[in-house]
Amino acid sequence: MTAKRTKAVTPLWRWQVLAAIFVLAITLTGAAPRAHPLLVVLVGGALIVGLFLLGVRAWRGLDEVAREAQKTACMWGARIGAGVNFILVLMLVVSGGAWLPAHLSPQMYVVLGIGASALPMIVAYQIYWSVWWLKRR
Amino acid sequence: MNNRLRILRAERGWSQADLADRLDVSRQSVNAIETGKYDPSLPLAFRIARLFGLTIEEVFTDEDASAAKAAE
Repeated sequence: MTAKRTKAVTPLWRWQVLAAIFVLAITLTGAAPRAHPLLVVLVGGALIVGLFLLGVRAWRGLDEVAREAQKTACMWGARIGAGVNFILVLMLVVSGGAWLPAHLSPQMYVVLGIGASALPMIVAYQIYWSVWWLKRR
Repeated sequence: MNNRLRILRAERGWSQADLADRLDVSRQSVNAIETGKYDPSLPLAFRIARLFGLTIEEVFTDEDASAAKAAE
C-alpha cells in the first residue's frame, strides 16, 4: 500500500470562509478612514496571492471526479446565486431600500453589499456540490 | 457506460479504499465510477485498465454499442 495521502473530496468551504474573511478584512481596511491606500493595496494584494496559492494547493489535492463536482457546482451554484442576487436587487429597488439597516456609512453599505451578494452564491454552490455528490453515492 | 470494476476489485479482495489508493483517487470517486454514475476520463480509464492488466474494452462497455450490436 502506498504511503501517499488518499485524495479527498472535501469541498473548498474552508477556503471560501477564508476568502470571505479576507474580503471583509480588505473591505473594512479600505473603509477605515486612516488607512493609507498603499498599505491597503499591499495587504490586500498579499492576501489575494496567498488565497490563490491556497486554492491551487486545494485544487491539486482533488481527483478528477472531485474537480468535476467543483466545476459543476461553481458553474450552476454561481448562476443560481447570481439569480437570487438579481431578485434581491430588484426587491431593493422596488422597496426603495426600506428594509436596509439605517444610519450606516456609505463604506459600510458597500461592505454589506459585497457580503450580501457573495452569500447566495456561496450557499448555492455548497448546496449544488452536496447534491452532486449525493446523486453519485 | 457499464463497467466490471466491482467484480475485478472483488476478485482481488480489494476494498474501494484500496483501489482508490492504487488509482490515486478518493474512495467516493471509486464508488461513483463503480456504480456507473460517473464516466471516467480516458486517462483514468487507461489507468484503471492498466492496473487490472486489461484493455479498456474489457473493463468498460458502451451501452449504446452493446444495444446496437444486439439489434443487428
